[in-house]
This record gives sequence, structure tokens and C-alpha cells, in this order.
Amino acid sequence: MSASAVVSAPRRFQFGPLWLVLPALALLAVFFIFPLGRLFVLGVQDPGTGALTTEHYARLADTPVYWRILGITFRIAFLTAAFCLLLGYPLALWLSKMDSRRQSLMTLLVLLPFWTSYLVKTFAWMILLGNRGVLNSLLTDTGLLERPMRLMYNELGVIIGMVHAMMPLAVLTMLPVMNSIDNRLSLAAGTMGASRSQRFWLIYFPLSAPGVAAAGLLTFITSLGFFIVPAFLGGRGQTMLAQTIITQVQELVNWSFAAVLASLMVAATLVAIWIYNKFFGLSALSGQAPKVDGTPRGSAALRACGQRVLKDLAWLSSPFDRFASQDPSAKGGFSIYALVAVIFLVAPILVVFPLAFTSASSLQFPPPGYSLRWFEQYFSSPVWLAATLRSFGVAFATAFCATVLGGLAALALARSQSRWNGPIFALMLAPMVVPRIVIAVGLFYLMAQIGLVATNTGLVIGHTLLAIPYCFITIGAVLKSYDWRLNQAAETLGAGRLTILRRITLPLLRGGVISAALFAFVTSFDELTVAIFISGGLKTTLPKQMWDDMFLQLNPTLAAVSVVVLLIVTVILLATRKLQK
Amino acid sequence: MAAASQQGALVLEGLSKRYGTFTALEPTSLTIEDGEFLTLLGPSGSGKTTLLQMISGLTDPSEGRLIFNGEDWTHRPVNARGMGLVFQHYALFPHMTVAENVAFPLEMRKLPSAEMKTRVEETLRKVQLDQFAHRFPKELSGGQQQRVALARCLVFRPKVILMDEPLGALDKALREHMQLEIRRLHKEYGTTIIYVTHDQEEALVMSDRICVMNHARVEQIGAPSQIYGNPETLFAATFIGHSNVLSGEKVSSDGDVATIRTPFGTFSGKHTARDRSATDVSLIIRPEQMRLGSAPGDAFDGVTGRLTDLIYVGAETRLLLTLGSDTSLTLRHDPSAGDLPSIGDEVAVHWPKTAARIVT
Repeated sequence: MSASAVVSAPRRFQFGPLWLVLPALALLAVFFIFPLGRLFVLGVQDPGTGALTTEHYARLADTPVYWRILGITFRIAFLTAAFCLLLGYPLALWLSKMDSRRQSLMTLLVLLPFWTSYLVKTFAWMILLGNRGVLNSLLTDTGLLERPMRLMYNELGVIIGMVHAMMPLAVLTMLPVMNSIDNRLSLAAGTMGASRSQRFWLIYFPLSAPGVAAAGLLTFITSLGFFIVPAFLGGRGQTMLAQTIITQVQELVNWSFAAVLASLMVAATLVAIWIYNKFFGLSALSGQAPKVDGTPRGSAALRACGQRVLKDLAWLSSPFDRFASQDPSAKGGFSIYALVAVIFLVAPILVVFPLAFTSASSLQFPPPGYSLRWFEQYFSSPVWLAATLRSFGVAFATAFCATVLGGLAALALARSQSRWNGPIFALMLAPMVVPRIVIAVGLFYLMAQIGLVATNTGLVIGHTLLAIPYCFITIGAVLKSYDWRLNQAAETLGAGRLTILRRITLPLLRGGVISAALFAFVTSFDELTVAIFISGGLKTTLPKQMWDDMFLQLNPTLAAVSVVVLLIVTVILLATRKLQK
Repeated sequence: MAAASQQGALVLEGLSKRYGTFTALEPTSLTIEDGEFLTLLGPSGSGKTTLLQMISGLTDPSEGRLIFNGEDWTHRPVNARGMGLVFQHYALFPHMTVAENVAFPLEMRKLPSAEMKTRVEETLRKVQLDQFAHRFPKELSGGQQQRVALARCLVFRPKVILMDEPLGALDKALREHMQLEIRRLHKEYGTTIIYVTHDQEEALVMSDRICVMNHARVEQIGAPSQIYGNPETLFAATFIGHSNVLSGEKVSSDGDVATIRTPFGTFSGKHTARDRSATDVSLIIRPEQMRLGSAPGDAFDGVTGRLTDLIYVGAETRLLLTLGSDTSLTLRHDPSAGDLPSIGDEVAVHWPKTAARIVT
């Protein structure tokens, strides 16, 4: 029969849906895995002969200054993670107790600083904390202080900036876990005679622990590779590993040693993840509550130890129970703390607004008068305009590529039951976990050899790499709730595969796909690390231009640029929120 | 018969489905006539949905052929079959209105928009949903969604409609209403309907023929009265309607009549077993065929047992009798009759030999 001969062609993913993941895998293989591998090899190779050597590692071991830098990096990363958890936990708890409407509104106040460029955040803190900065001016003007206090170029400044930068990540990681905790469990414990402290420490806290651990892990490993905050808010004593890597590559052109440092950073990250996985399992990282019934993974002895500690904590805090009101609606102190925390997150960013409109040519606060001169300066500067346009172009291209590649990969994994799903899933998220500085250095080494440095293509590839995990997660989440029987229904009603994609699947996934594209756009628009290495000297992106300017001199033009960047990000964020409803 | 039934008939030839070592459907052959209402009835895992999916083309058969109207359709793409499929959970497109959902199959067939409009309106009127054309599916009740799914299927006038437990998600009253509704639409449109359900009552109410399935194979296929009156297997006898079962060994058979020896006596009945040579058989008597009292003559068989329960269910009273340790019988009795025995009594019951069936 001729009809059956025509239709004997492959139908309905007979190659297996995993083929769709290939484009993303190819990109990751060439521009992620390969450069990382090269970097590790560089660290154990003699640059002249190519022979295996341990001399670079030996040099590290023999140089005390590098030991100090490693120590400082771990210390700052650890302190940052600790403060983020300590300060973020109550805020997340406060948010989780709200009804979903208010929660999504209030979460915006955490999302806004989360998506605000690290450069803008750091710039804001420089204005606030400087010797003649906003805080010191206020304190000396009001006579509270005689001389300005040293608030930055020291560890204090770095920790303030880092905690401010990372706390939104911590809160946003803990919140979904807290949202999934059944409130009736605490009530049930109450009916069995548990006091307030016992209910919290013995019931609620252990259930929220996976979220706390995930938040701790993410803030710690992100802080390990951080350089913007210590570069601007720290002194020489706060130089971190990532800054050292940049120096080794850009100023000393010592690839072998940069490779050693990068390998160390990846090793530290992997150890942190390994420890986390040992106790909590990586599934809790995906932002959802752990799939298992919350059973901790550790040994029985460890569990017993943990429970002992929790009981002691409950006992220690029990004297404070009577200060807490019995009426659950009157949580004055708690709300005041949450308000302070939100102000800490949002207010520093807002300080750039008055300064962008200042009439003075310095960043004095409060501004002596208001004008639009700095916006004029920005919009009439060919350098700034070129950088802005380039950033837009690269961000658009990145949004397109990352959404297509990440979306296809998410589709592939949603439709496949292969045993490769697990490893592929991990690989798709890897660019989010491996420190950006390591990815950037690896990319730089590769792209320098194939002539992609200082090209838009190079930038788009680098940014796509970084944005793919976000697109993959966002589209994967909407696919999870997609009803595949709709495709079958459309098929029985006479629709072909393309028609189904166009008329059924894409319209239903539209919200998720557009959000993914917007996330990718913002990721690229804000991206500095890759841009530092790849964007090249003359043609820069907006963040790179800001970075260069911030090193030269703080000026109100930077405030004007920050305001523009903030507005763009805010508009995109609000658009995304609207779509996800 | 086979040659005459070619026009519009759907013929399955040894259709089977295996997933690795797991068999979802043993090779199955069967012919579905044009305009017939055939029900695939069986418990979950019996292969009925697999069979339906292979007819629709959503699942590829491992072996066998599917022939429609004389053409080999085994590997014809789903969207080229033009069969309607009503899903268990309706699978209405949530981003389209009722009218858009119903218009979808017509759009796929590139009908002129004016005709499309009249067809949609007409079909919605048929299922009494013309008021709801501009609502979205989630704004409708379960029964209304069900009718949208039906309309979306009827609107393009498919030759064959497949329904996969379409009433499974509805409550009992609505389900019974929709059964009659579907029966009415079937008569009106004259479409072939293949209907999957695990509800034997639904199957009896709606079908021209019932195909009883169990353990990935067809147990028996026939008109409802045929299956109820002459079951071939113990499964068919107990899955459809209530049966009293006395198991034993076949001692003789003569044409249509066989004799069975059980721990409670030797009885005879009509030999309807699918496998005529089997000796491991059961005697089946429907509860309504049993009467109280000893057998009044040679045309009857009987047993005695102890009455363990009396259940009043309105139209009748059910008597539960225990024979030995693991056999029980049920019979129906007029609740207004005054001659009811008491619980614990030894009671004799009898039935006409012509009402008994011997099955495997």
C-alpha cells in the first residue's frame, strides 16, 4: 500500500527525545568542558616543553602570600555564607508565613536586589561607605562622630558588600523549602505539649534545614569566586582568589599559575558540594523540597548528635517564650526585623537615584541641587552609548540562543526516560556552579587561540553558556506541569507535529519561555566576568565600561548609568512576573 | 459474513504489544463493524487501553495488522486516521475557548470559516453547550467539559470514535445521564464507537457488543445478553453480573450439555466453555435463577446449605448461603413473601438445569 510506505518514516521521536539536547551539549562540550580540561592540564604542564610537572603547585606551596590569599578567600566566603543564613533565615521565615499574594509582592523586594547588577550594588556601597560617603557625612554632620569612620577598604566593607550581594540568593533558596513545610505539624506538636521554642527547634527548623544548607552552599561557592566587592570595598588585605587569577592572567600572563589557582577554586567548590550532597542530597538544590520525606542522610550517631543540639537550643531559648505574644498576628518584633532587613537590601540601591540627578560634579550627599546633566553626559558619550548598544545586542542574541538551547534540552529531558538523564541534568546546571571566573579564564585561553576574543560571537557564546542553566530550569519547571495528552489529543484531531508545537505546546509554555529569555537577557546584560576577558579593549560592554570607570574615578555619570541599568532590569523583572501569573 | 462486513469495518489481525519482556496485549484478532458500539471491558491492566491506543495510532503495535475499510492502517500516522478520541481527562486545550476547542479539528481540515462556524454552533447545540461557547474549559463543570470533549470529536464526523473511560471522572448520577446521552448521539450519527471502561453496568447499558478482556487478552466477545446468558469463562461470568460458582471436574459431555462433579454433588448444565476439552470447569448459576426448596423434578438440580445472612435491598432480599467452608451462594427473593427462613437454618435451593452453564 502506497500510503503505508510513505508513512513508514520515523515518527514521534523514534531517535529518542534526547537528540534535542545535543546542541546544548555540543556548546557545553566545546566551550565549557574542553576549556576547563585544558585549564587543569595547564596547571601541571611545563609551559615550554609541555612535559608533566608539579612545579606550579610547588610554587604555590612555597609562597606564603598565596596561602594567605587562600585563607582570606575561605574566611570571607565562610563569613558571608554565615551572615547570609543568620540574617536571611528570619526574613525568609517572615515571607513564608504570608499568604501567596502578599508573599509574591514582598518577594519582589528581594528579587530586585537579586537581579541588580553586582557593579551597581558595589557602586552604591562605595557611595555609602566612603570616607566622605553618605553614612560618614550623616554621622559627622549630626555630630555623632568627630572624624569619619573607616567603613571600607577593610574586611568590614567587604563583608557588608558581600552579604548584601548574596543575601537575596540565600533568601530565595530557603523560601521554597519553607513554603513546603506543613504548618499543621507545628500545631500538632503544640497539642502534644511542645512549647514555642520546642516547636521551632524540634519541628520547624529540622524541616527547613535542607533549604538552609542549600542556601549556605550556594552563597559559599558563589562567594569563593567573587571579585567585584573585594576589588572595590576591600583593602590589600582582602585580596581574594579570583582577583589574583585576574592579575595572573591580565598583568603577569602567567597561565600556568592562573590554572593552578583556578583548579584550586574548582576543587574547593567540588568539596563543598560533596559535603553538601553527603548530608542533604543534591535534589534539594533544585529549589524544591527534597523528594524523600525529609529524612536526613547522615549516620545515626550524627543524627542523635544533631537532635541533642536542637534540644539544647530549645531549652536555651525557652526562657524567651514568655516574651513572645500568644497571639500569632501580633509579631511586632519579627516584622520590624524583616522590615530592617528589606531596607538593608533595597535602600543602598536607591541611593544612586538622587546622585544621578545631582547638579554637583562630585558624589556629595545630599546633592546641592538637581539636574539632568549626567544623563546628558551619558547619552552624548560615544563610549557609553557604544557600550550600551553592544550590551543590548549581545543580550538579545544570548537570550535567543540560551532559550532555544536550554529549552530544547529541557524538552528532551522531560520526554526522555534514559539513564543519561541524571548526568545530563547535572551538566546543564554545571555552568551555574563552577565559579564564573574559572569559566571566563578557560574561555579566554580557548578563544584567544581561535580568534574569538574581542568579537561579539565570543561574548554571546560565553554569556549563552552562563545563561543556559537559568533557561533550562525555568522551561523545565513549566514543562513539569505540561499535560502531554494535549499533544495526543491534537494529533487525533488531525494536527501534524509542527502544528501541535505552534498551536498547542508553545502557546501553553509561552510564559515560561519568555521568562527564560528575559532571565537570559538580564544575565548577559549584567555580566562582567566573561566580558572582562572576552570583550576586548576598545569595544566594551556596559558592565565592563562601568568596571573600568569605577577603577579610574567615581563620578555622577556612573550613578546615571546605574539608574538606567536598574530601570531596565526592573522593567524586565516586572514583565517576567506578569507573565508567570 | 467477513466479506460482507468489509465496508467501513475495522479489522485487527493478531495485533499485539510488548514492552521488553512485559506483554501489554497478547495477539488479538477481531472485527468491528461499521456503526457498531463495541465496548472493551476489563479490569485495569487487562490491555483494553493498549488496544485502544493501537487502534488510534498513538501506540505502535509490536506485531499484527490493522485494516480499515480494506486498507492497511497499521502504520498510518495518528493525524491521518481521522479517528476521534475522547480522553479520560478530556485533554481540552486550556488556552482555547470551548468554541475554539471544537473548531480545532475543522481548522486542521482547512474548512472555510463560515462553514466552520455553523458546524461548531450546530455541534455545540447537540451537546447543549451553545451557551458556553466563549468560556474556557476551566470555567466549566466536569460534565460540561466531558460534553466539550464529545463535541470536539463529533464535529469533524469521524468514521470511528474511540473513548477511553470518558465518564470515569464523573459522579454516578451524571455518569448515568451521560451514558444515555452518548447512546443517543451514537444512534444519531451512526458512527462506529469503541468504548473502554471497567464498569460492567456501563458496558451492558451502552454496547452492541462487549469485548471482555483480562490478563492482556480477550476473554469473550459478544452481545451483552450473549455474554450475560452464555459466559464462556469464569472471569466473564463473574466480571459481568453476579454469579454463583461451584467448581469441580467435568465427568462427561454430550453435545451442548456437560456434567460436572463438585464436592456438593454432580450437576449438569449447558456447556458454554471456550475450551471444550478442559476438565477443570465451573458450574455457573445466576442468582435470579435459584429458588428456595428441593428440586421438584428431573429438570432441576439442587443443593442444601446454611443461611448465613439476609440482606434487604429494596426491590429484593438477598439470601446468602454457605456450602462447606469456602463456597457461598446468593439468591434473590421477593421481600414481601412471608416464607423467609431464618439465619442459621439449613436451606435447600434448586435451579433449572437449562439455566446452569459450564465454563472454564
